[in-house]
Amino acid sequence: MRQLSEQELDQVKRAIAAKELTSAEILMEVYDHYVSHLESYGDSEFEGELFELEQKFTHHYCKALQEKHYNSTHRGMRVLQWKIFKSQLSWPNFIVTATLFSLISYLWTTIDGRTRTVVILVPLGIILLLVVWILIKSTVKVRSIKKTLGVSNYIQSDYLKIILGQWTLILSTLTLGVLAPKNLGFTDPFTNPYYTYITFFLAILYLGYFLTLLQAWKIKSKTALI
Amino acid sequence: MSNNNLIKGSLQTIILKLLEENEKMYGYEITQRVKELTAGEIKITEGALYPALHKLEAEGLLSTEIQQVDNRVRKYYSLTKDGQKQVTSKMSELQGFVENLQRILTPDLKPGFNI
Repeated sequence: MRQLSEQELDQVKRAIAAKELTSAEILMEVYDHYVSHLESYGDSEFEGELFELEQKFTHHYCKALQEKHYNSTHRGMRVLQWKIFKSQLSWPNFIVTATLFSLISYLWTTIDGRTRTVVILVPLGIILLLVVWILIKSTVKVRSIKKTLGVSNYIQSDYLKIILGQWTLILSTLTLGVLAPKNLGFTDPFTNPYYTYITFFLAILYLGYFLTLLQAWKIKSKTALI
Repeated sequence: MSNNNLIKGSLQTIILKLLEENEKMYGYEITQRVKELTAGEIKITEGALYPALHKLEAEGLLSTEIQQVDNRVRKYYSLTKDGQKQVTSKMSELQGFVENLQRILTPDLKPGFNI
């Protein structure tokens, strides 16, 4: 085991930067693999071993690895959030969920349509604040990797990419549920009974999503780049 | 002779077993440990290792930890509670398969044969 010289490290960084990877997780892992491997060989073998690594970690292979990692992470987050959601329905968490559900149901019968629209914006705003907080935390964590590798291109954690994607989806439900009725010709959708169901569904969705995202982030932030 | 195809089906079990014996490991360390244990007979390719690790992580069988090592960040993998439970069942599944394979390859062996 030896420490690589600055020139050797620069050569490794250039080789990795040429792969144009955007996933912080993959960049970090590939760089560590390269350095760990090269450290176990003498400086006379450096060129040959780097060439060997380049034959294994080709541009195509790294891109495929990045794509597979994104898909696995996406599936992992979905499984984790679903597990958290299910745990809210099991005893004794069920009491809290049922109480919350009953409270929202009661609230929905006592307020008018316009107020309902404002009320569903509250959890949406909280989700936005959480997403911004995750974005800041992740950017700080990824910055050190970017600094180590000296890459100038845009790199991001796959977890963050997934959360931002979910945020877009959540925002789309608001457009679809609240703004679409107006576009479909309902002159006063606030008085329509269907509107009550839509806003109620959105309130539950936003609250449920916020809780699962918060829990998932709390778990993953200890170990992942978010 | 390339044994990549033979290893492919048992790679997850190998990873889980190694992580059961070692508290936490990183990708390169796993390839080296397998090489060391099999005197270089089995070489886990990076092409198979990393997707397998990421898959096990997504399934909740592995957890990860990021640590600063020298001037770089290293990702360590370790078993989750679910992963620990899976090791035993995956191991007996693989052992059962090897025993059956042995019976096919050596039909003279008695049915009670155990590896």
